[in-house]
Amino acid sequence: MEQVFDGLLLGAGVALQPTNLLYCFLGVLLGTLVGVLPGIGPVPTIALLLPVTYGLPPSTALITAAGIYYGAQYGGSTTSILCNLPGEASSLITCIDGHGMARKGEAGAALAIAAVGSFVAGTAATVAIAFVGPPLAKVASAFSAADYFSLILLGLIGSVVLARGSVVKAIAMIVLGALFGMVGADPTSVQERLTFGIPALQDGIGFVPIAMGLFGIAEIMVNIERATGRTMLGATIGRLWPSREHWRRSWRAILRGSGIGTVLGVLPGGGAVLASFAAYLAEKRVSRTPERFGTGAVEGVAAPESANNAAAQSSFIPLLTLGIPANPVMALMLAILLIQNIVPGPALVTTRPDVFWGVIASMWVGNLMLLVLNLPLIGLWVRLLGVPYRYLFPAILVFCCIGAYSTGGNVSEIWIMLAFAAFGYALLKLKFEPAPMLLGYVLAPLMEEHFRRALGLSHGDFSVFVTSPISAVFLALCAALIAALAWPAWRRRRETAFRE
Amino acid sequence: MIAPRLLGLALTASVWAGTAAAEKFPSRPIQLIVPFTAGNVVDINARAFAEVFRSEIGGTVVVVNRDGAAGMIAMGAVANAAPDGHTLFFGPNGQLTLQPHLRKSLPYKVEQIAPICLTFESPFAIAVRPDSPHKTFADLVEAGRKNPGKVSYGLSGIGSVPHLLFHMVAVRAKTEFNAVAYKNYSLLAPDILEGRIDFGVMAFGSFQSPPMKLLAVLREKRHPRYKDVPTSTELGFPAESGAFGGLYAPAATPKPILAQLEAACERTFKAASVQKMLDDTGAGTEYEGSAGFARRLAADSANKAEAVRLLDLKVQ
Repeated sequence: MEQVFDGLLLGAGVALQPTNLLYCFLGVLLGTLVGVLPGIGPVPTIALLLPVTYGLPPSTALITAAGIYYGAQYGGSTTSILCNLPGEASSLITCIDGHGMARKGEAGAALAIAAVGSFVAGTAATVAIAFVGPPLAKVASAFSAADYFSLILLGLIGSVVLARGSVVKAIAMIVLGALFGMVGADPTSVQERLTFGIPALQDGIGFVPIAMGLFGIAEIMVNIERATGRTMLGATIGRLWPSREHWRRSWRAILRGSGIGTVLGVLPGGGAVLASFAAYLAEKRVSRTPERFGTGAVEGVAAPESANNAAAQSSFIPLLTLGIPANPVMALMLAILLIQNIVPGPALVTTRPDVFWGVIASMWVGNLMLLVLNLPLIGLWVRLLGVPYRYLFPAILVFCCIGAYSTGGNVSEIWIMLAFAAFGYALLKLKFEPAPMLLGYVLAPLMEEHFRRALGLSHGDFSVFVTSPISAVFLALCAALIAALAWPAWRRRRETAFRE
Repeated sequence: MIAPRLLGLALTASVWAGTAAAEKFPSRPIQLIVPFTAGNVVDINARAFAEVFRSEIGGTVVVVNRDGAAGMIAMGAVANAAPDGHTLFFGPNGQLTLQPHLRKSLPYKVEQIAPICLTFESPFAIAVRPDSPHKTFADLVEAGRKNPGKVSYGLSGIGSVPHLLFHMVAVRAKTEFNAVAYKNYSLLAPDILEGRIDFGVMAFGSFQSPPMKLLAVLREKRHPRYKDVPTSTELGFPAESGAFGGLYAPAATPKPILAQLEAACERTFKAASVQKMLDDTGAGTEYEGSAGFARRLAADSANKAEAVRLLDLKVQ
């Protein structure tokens, strides 16, 4: 314990050096900007700056790159809330209630709650990394392929809860999304599936084109059709700051989201995405008024936004304590360290305490900067909603096209995005909800990958899913969730049967 | 609206550069197309290479990431680009030596590409956990022979270069292992260390040693980074042609420009910063010019054809 405080003190000394403060600020500022722009994420940004880091001291280099990464998590919520445009999978879930709040004229409140939630989550995750980093890393390495499969299955079943209307329609959407997720190269081999020989589909359908088409552009089409007002939402901008009621509803959600995010963020491969979904689903389950979700419930913004920020930070744990990069961003961090002749791993805390503790301390400093940076920006963002839509919509469309193009440098991505925009418009007209479909699209390929790996490792023995204790617990939860979903319908049928 | 203004400036600048130096190469920015996402080991080396290459060639050099479809999209883009030396491919060998044996149709023809210089290698190692019962590579082979198909190993994908490479070793060792695909190396390391899988065939840069213990490097000569780890060739199981690569151009590029690129490449390769990055990522190799590079590719292609046939990978 004393060591941790000594370490944090040392880290604060590193993080508060004027150059490090400056680079931290530049990092979070740049991160916020790339987070706001759809389709341009932290990975290409950090890669572009990689040559710049050669000349920097290692702690400064890592502090800057880390700032870009969690700064992007702050920025990502902005377009989700204002324009229903999820820039990456981890801010997808924020669209549902975040944009719902914007439609009610509470965009400012949603942005403020997201920023404060992210700050609280960032603080919680910083503390977690400092005090329980190594044990949390153990949790991550304890997860086998079978455990991942069951966790994702739980998420997929849970996403039925997302649907506001018909459960049958929601299931249909999840399955359809899963099929879209299967397009492209088989995850374990060279075989292609559902590509119809089209080269652009060989790698599957990218998240950015499908999400921006289904959510953002389809939303624009519906808005144009309504054309009730001159501006985007046809509503008044409303208050800029959250009300007492908003805070009362969201503080618990922020804390729960931070906890879920910190734990799930440690899991390699999709931790932040799973964390934001899990936090939202948990919030809806514990809520006494779950029917408010989907129409602009503030908890539906607070929980996932806290969770994705906490997860972004706790994904550093496997890298710093085990030397295992959990996602492409962490692979870049590993590269930055290797260039500087630093090998991350269990020994890092003793060999380079300045780097280890400096980065941890800088995360808190960076989160504080982001809060100070983002709160005044809210007024500016919200004023954007007042821009007449004949200017705003073309601008959004252009940004979407740039975003879709820049993910792979292929024009075909733009065509895919437009196809999904048309499809998304049809879905909205037919009262099918796009959110469960996108969930199926994101989760099903992950689930398949782990399922096949689990069976590969067990030489085809299915019992592995129940003999692994972690997996067994998740499967039991799946069964309980299905029972809870089916119970009201079953009871109703019994009641009507009795009446007859 | 800053972006359109910047774009306008850039356009004016490139038009001006185009007219002023129509005779000279390079007359506009050179694109170095990398078939991976940013941050990949090859991408990192491409960026270090580009930093020096731009002063050696005397022009702007931009790294462009076109990942996907096992690098075939990127190779297709270079093959079909204007053959004027301004669009180059920086990547490994698989697109030329493996994909043609796996697939009926490619977005390019192998003859459309001219190799310029070989600058990097991606060696693979056999990695186990420190307390693994398999102390040596011979132990693994023995275990594989006793229980054919029961000893499992993780690798990046069925039909990938490390799969073919290691399968050839296994065939020569007259044994059979259970191959399990890991799309993401970050999940393979915990599985090996926690004992959920027996060993991994992993690319340099994707593991740390320690904690991972290396039993062999799939290579002819010992790797300078792991001098005490035996090579597969030493152990009696030669693993020819792993992953190597460098710079390529469209085959129709004028000879003088190809020569200019090759000369600049050789000077860039020798630069201290490029060498350091190659060392740091374990990708260092001996330089080969266009002729040597072409010979290596031809030999590798024959080798891969044989491996694909042995593995009976279905061509689609």
